[in-house]
Amino acid sequence: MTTDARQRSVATLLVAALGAMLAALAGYLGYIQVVGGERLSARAYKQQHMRVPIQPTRGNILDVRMRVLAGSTEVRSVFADPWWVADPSDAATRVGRMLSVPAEEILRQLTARGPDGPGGRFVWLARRVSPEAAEAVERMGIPGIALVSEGVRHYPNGSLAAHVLGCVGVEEQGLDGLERLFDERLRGREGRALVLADRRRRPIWTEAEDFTPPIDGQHLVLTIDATIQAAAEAAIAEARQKFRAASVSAIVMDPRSGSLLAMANVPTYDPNRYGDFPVDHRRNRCVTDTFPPGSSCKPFIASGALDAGVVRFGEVIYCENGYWAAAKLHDAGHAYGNLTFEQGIEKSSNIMMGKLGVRMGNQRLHDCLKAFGFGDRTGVWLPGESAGVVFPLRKWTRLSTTRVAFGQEFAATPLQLITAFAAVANRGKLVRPKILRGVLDSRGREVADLSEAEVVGQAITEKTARQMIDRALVGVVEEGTGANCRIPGYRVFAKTGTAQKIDPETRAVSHTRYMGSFLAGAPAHDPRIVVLVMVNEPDKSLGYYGGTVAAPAAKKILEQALPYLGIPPAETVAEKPGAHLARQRVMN
Amino acid sequence: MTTSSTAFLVQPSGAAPAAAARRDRPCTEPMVLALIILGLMSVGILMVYSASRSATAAGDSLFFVKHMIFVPAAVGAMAAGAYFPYRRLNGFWPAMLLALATVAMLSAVLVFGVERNHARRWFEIPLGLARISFQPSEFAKFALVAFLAWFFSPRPAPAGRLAEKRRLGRLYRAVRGEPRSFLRGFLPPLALTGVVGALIAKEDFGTAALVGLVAVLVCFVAGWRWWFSALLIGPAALGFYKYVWLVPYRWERIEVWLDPWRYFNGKGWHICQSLMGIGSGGPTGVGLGGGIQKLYIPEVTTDFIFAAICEEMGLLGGVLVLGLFGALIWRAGRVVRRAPDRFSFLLAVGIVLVIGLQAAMNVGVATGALPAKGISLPFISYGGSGLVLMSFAAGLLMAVARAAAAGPVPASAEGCHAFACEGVECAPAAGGPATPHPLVYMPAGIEVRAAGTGPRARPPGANDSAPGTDGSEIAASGGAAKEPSDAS
Repeated sequence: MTTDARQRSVATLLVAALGAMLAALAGYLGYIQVVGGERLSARAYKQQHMRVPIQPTRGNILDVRMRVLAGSTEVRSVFADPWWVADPSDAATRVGRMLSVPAEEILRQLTARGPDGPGGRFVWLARRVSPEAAEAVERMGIPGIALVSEGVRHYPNGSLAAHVLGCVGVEEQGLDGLERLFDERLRGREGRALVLADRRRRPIWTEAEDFTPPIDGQHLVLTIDATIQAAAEAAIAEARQKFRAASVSAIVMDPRSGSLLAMANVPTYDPNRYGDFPVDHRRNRCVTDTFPPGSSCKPFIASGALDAGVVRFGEVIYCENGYWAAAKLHDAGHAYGNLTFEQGIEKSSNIMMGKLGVRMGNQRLHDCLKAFGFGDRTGVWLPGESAGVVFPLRKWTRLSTTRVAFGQEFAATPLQLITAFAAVANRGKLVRPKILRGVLDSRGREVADLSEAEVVGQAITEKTARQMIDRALVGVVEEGTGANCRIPGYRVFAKTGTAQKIDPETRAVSHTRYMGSFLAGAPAHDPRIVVLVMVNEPDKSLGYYGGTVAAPAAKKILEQALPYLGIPPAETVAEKPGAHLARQRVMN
Repeated sequence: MTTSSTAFLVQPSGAAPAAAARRDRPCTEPMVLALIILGLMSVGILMVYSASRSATAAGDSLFFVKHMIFVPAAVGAMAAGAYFPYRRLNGFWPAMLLALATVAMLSAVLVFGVERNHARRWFEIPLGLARISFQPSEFAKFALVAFLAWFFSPRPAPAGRLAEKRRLGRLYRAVRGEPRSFLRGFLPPLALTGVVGALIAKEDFGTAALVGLVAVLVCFVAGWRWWFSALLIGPAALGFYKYVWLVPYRWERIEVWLDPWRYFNGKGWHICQSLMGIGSGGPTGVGLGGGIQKLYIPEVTTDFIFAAICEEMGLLGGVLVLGLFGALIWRAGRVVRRAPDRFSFLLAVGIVLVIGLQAAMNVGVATGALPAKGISLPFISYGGSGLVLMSFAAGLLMAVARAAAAGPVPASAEGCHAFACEGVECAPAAGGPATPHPLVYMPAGIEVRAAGTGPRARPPGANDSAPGTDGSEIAASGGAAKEPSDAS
């Protein structure tokens, strides 16, 4: 029986040992919670929660009549967490078939390895897939492959106003144009949420105490009118094709407010797929490129001369029959004898302008250019604007006086040119050109109203401006170099310009590269619209005068824009029977 | 005689108070055990429900639905165990059958088993629409214990058919365990344990360790010389060196155990998640069903359910569960001490060790005190066959308790068993009344025969504790008479 007793006590000891083990474990449990509890629960909290950014919706860009020029929609993108993908090659085959992406490409993404160990926990498999493909991938339900919503920028009118709008990158960041300049406003503010997630990072709920809703981007309302913009783009595209020009630009402006109704360049690009076009096509030549304006600046100098009192309407000026030796000025195309002041403008006599320049003197000439805004940025809200070039007086040479007077030895952007022209049309008041009419918040409430005109200064007197239009610039169309822009029923005023470009290789004035420009406005008694068309480097054999290459495009734009803006063709009855014949004579 | 299933629940009404208390006391033992186990199972139901709920999918998980089928089955198995004529297992053929079946199933599962979580441990038996999966290693734990309990039990002389066949008789005598003998007490159980352990270890190191430990401890309790156990240290160290030290992935587990946070995104993931679950519970937990970390803990319904308990019920819940296990072991320890015979004693010791060690190992793994192993928490974890078998084994403990309450088997009957005779002689040797008092509980399946009617065998050197002169006296006082200290 001793054996039995011994065995029973051994058993009792074992049971006691078991109990002691359990007690020890209970103690250890308490130790874990007391000593490590805070650290462990903090770590658990950290892994259970993920900070999720909530992307705001990018604001739209609208035209003056609230038509959408650029908008954002939601699409879905496919990403993977390779850590969870059990069978990468199978997943790659299945997903690849659905997304029409090569399976090897996806497999490479899924099996990519970082410098030490597996690669990242997040890889994009396909961005912005079609809704059908997204749904198909979702239905497959492969662990580790999931979808996320992303905004995609859409330009419903394709290339319309592309240079004004600009474009956005993959992350919807503005790259160009207004998209870049107003990126912050359009983008809005990112919200964030603290999301409780399970092991597969599937969200369970959002923690209420740490939630910042996103603020959607603001909408930009432009002064651009899509209809006029489309007319301008069609007209310049045609002109470019017809004259095989390197590029053509056009700007349409309301002279009273400075609102840009259209701003177009060809060649252009489609911001929906900007990657398919050369970077050069994305440049907004209207504000970035500068040219010597040539004859088109004559109305401004002539107005300055009138204001300075050095010339009067009807004054006869001798134009040296095309060669003014004292100023070494040769004007073969415009060999005239005596011309009245207004005829000199109509026929664009360089020699007359040179004489006016001499009469004004350098200081007043320079001040006149500055008063019209040359040499300074207009301050339009478009990126990359150039200031143009007006040399300071100390850099002027002996010949500068006569050259500046007819538009050489200084350079201007197309926008500066039309802004100056708008000042003439606007009774001498120079207004700042503007592209933005207003800003709306994401719910459509007005944040800023920018429709008010911003007057920069009085470039010339109101009387001079009126007379310049009525007595000289109307004649340019009716009897002078702008005959190609006659529109029945409207009194159009205009000025042509043909500038020789500087050859970038020889650094001298080129005889093959021209810039044909045409400034026009209508109606003459109350200008509502001014147009600039610049044809850059047309094929010389097809024509290069501004009145030949640019005027027809300006006419097309005006023809469509005037009725569209509700300006009645009121002046048909006023046309004299003889005017018709006079017109014919000039054309011949 | 009648054996009412509720006999031990009935308060004797007519008996004198003192006598009633005496009779009543042993009868409460199975009930206490059952209540503790039902408590653990209740915790299990709650936690399997909570842990198996997916935060993102609606509806009850299949885990819980299946668990709600298994728990009643387990309760049934427990009841069946309580009334199981377990002493019939104490025989040559039953023991051989258990050993052979264990080895056969463990071998078969390596070939025909289904693989889950990279381990081939399960049989899948199609049953209509459902499939029942069964882990032979769960069976092996208890089969080995039963075998060892038989092996070290005194054996009567061959009788009946066995006595007639000489060769069989010799074998019968040869496998008789002599715990203090090196050849007959040390090597045979070691050989069987080695085979069973090796077969399990191939796919499940943790269970193999548990089985081996339980087997050695049972042998030790049975009376091994102390140096038998010491002899094992050498081979154990060699095995550790060869199979852990030299096997990189097993050694890595040790390293992970020592510093799980270094292997956070790899092998340490399980234990780190479990620790974070325990840590975020605090003293009272985040509330039932409110756990989040449970969504991160792998195998949270089975191996790591303790972490979910600690997260949702806190330190309080963890200590409660450990306390329930402690209470279970304490009460089971009383059953062990009162076991009426050697077989019952060793069987009960084995079962207690399995339950206690498994619980301790599970909690140890969940708290990071032990290296990671796939071992479930008894009565709480989800897990079909394991839960049912464990409950059946617990039922056997109750059967032992009931047998103890019935009184010690007369010395003459100890060892006189199924093989030699069809029943156990329980009647008093000295011509007491053949039918005991109706309130005295008699173990089911043990036929009581009038003295002298059955074949009797008295092995030489058997326990010669004299039976009492009065039948009811024997039944009531039972083993308690030997342990007066245990009167509480």
